[in-house]
Amino acid sequence: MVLKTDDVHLVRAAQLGDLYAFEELVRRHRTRVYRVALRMLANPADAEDAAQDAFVQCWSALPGFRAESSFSTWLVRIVTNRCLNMQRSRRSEPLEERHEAGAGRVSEVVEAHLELRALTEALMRLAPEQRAPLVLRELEGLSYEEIAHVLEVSVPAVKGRIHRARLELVAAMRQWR
Amino acid sequence: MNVHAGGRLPCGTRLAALVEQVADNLAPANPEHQASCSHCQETLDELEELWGRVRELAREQVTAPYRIVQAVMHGIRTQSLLRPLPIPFEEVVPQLVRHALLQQARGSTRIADSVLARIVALTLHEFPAVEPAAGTSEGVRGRFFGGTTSGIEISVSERGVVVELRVTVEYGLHLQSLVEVLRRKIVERITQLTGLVTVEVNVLVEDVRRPLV
Repeated sequence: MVLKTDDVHLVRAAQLGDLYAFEELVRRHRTRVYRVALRMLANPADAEDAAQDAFVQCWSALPGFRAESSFSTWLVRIVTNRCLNMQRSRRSEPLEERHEAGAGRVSEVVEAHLELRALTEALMRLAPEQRAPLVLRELEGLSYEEIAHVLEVSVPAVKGRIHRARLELVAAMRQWR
Repeated sequence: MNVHAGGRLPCGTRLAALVEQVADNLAPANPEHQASCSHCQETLDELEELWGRVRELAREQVTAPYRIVQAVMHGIRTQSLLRPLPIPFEEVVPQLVRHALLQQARGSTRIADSVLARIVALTLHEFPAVEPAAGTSEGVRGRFFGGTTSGIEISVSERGVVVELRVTVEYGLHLQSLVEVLRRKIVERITQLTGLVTVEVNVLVEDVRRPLV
């Protein structure tokens, strides 16, 4: 019964080259990976791309995975980095274009919920480096230790970043009202 | 919310402390002041409302399209064709089992040569006057099946299956005729059960024995 197999065993099998085991891992973790990407990018199409890239990268890196974190946290790390890279390269686009494209896409994500849309837009106004720890903490419920692992920084640094990001978010949301 | 420069409310409370309190669900640092301070109360109400939205967004159902799985697996399969397995095959299957490959179009069917040896052994049971030679010669797969397939060796090549057989036959029978019947039976059984072509059945009559009474 594939469904009852632990991630640990599936990961081991996938490390040996078992594509079916890996497919099961993709099935299990796709929602989380996609959700992180969606919160980071606020755009379903981009989130799908990021999630796909993350899984393909995960497959390539799998032989080197030493289980220092759970497989799930490791995946979150890969997809978060992927999103940060995507946004870094996008920053070089002209400002106006970025804004228009962003606004149109955001409305697709949470059309029905105006308030959530306002929140999403406030989140998108944060720098990606601030948004990442906030998304992981407030929306994904990761511990400070896990976030430190994902972002490859120390726990106090994570706490500091989340602290500042929260204040930024509050300011952004108040401004928007 | 009335926040002065330096991030403090008019009462002197730091906004950051209230944000922390709401976001992390902490107990107030200074409950008596907070309960009686209108600045703190007003700010807390506003923050609770804002953070309520954050929590709502966290609860929002997100469904990842299934095509992600398909796209990933397609990408990996394509990639895998271009690159060896991450770990050498020998490590995955430590005892390399030899086999015959039957069909590859819609997934492969492989029949281990130990299965072919077993089929030959069971065919021999149809001949009470014949039994496979006891003991194992070099390369015989006795370690897999104990004595049952001793005296039987299978090799599979592109031409087909080759059976090497060592037998003991009951005294008084015409050996050449008997072996010919045995050979045809073995070829027939292997084809019947596996669809494989048998190109050679080489028989060494090693001994003759007294009839069993």
